[in-house]
Amino acid sequence: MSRRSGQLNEGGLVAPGFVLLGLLIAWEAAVRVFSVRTYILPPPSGIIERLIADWPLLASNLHATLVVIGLGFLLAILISLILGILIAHSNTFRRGVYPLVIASQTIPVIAVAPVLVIWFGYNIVPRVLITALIAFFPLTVNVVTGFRSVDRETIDFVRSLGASRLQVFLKVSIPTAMPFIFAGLKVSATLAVIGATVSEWMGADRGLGNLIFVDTSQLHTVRVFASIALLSACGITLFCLIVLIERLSLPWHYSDQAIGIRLRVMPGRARRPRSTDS
Amino acid sequence: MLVPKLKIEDVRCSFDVEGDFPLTVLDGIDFSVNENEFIAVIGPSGSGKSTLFNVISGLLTPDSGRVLLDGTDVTGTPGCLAYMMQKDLLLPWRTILDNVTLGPEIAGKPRSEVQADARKLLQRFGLDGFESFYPAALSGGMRQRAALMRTILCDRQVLLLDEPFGALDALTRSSLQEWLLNIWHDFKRTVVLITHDPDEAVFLADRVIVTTSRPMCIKGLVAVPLGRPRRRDVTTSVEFARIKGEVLDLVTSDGSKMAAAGTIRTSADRGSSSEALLS
Repeated sequence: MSRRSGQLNEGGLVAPGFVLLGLLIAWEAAVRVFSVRTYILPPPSGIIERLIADWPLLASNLHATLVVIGLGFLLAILISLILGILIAHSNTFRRGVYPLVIASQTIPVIAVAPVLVIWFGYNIVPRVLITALIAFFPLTVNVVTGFRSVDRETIDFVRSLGASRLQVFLKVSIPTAMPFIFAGLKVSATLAVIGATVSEWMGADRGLGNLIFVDTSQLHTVRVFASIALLSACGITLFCLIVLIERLSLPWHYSDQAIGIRLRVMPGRARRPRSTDS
Repeated sequence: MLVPKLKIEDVRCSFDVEGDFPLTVLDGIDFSVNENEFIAVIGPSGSGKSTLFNVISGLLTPDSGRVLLDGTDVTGTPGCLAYMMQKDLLLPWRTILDNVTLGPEIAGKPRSEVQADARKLLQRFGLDGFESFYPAALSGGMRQRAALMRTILCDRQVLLLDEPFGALDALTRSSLQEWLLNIWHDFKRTVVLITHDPDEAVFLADRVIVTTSRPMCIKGLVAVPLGRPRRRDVTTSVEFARIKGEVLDLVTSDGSKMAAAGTIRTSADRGSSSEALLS
């Protein structure tokens, strides 16, 4: 099996880091050279200054947003797993429900948000729901694909060992679906950050989304950028966290690395021929 | 009277194809296997040999007929025999050690005990040092040996081997055949092997069952009175050539002779017309 996506290997973060640094320097220089007004486009240095100066305010709002992201993401995972497993294993669900789930994606969730506020009130519930509604779809599709890609022959073989349906599900279906589920989690994680921001925009008294809303109306652009930087950091951190868990829990999926680690652990084996029949 | 280890009684099986008439795949298969006997089933590819194994292993319930293991009816009951399919079907997320112990694990045996037993056998299967590797890192021959080790560790009396060496190159296959004979000699099991290689059938088996193409029925049986243990050099002997010739004659003999002998049944016509429809 060839090496799959390598987002977190050592070389992986250095190159984008340099590009980002270059972009920030160009941004800083452009703002200074063309004397752009701060409320139009603040320089990166100004944003960092603001981050430090307003940290207590930003931190308390970040905390509120993180709670919405976390709860919304967990709800999205729960919905996706239940829905995805049902759709993958039941023909009735696949024919009757799956098309509707896909069609539901044409409904603009942002437009539904105020209705949710009317239903559930001015509290965290509509925010978590909006976050989950925005984040669940890619994960659901991946859960369905994952459980549908279980190899028929492998199931027959495991059944021939006398395995029950539950054993087949636990020992074959879940491990087969795991790489797909992780791919979906990565997409959904970034969507959860967007969902939480949007939900706070639509109706909240706290959170970075709400802060951006308030600051924009007051042309407090520097702090808007500071909030955006924090939200983006949330997304990246969540994404990297999932990649890390994936690496640790699916070592076989990164079999090149798995062999690499083993060869380093057991140097004596490194010189052993890969095969003894050839 | 001696009860055969495995008895296949008049098994018939057909599938519903898109359309009106069923496609007959197994048309009255009837044979028995004695304890510790090695039987090879040889026939044209696509003739329903894998379907036959699915029935014997209990994965598929036939339309009629029975499968008896030690005289007990095990028709449609998976898990009574060990079944090794064409592909090695090693689970890519499990290490070799975890793969070969899958059978006892499903049977609910304690993991540590099972793994300790397996470790002792790794050397015998040429897998020592590879127990913590994932299957993707192994060669085709090693994967097949791991699959066979897994089949042996299931601890069943009867092994069904469905073209276990079909996907391997000729040299690897030849060395694995000899190795399989040694394993069979050491572990004393009853084996039914599907193959489409007459050399493999005669070299390995005590008896060779020759089948027709779909719908599958048995054309005849060829006994292989070659001594045991067998070495590779037996394949160049006159006796080997004679038996192989006998098998090939049966394989290539046409249906008209069979019909005269009364072996082909009336549904053969239906089967061949449905075959034409499929192609």
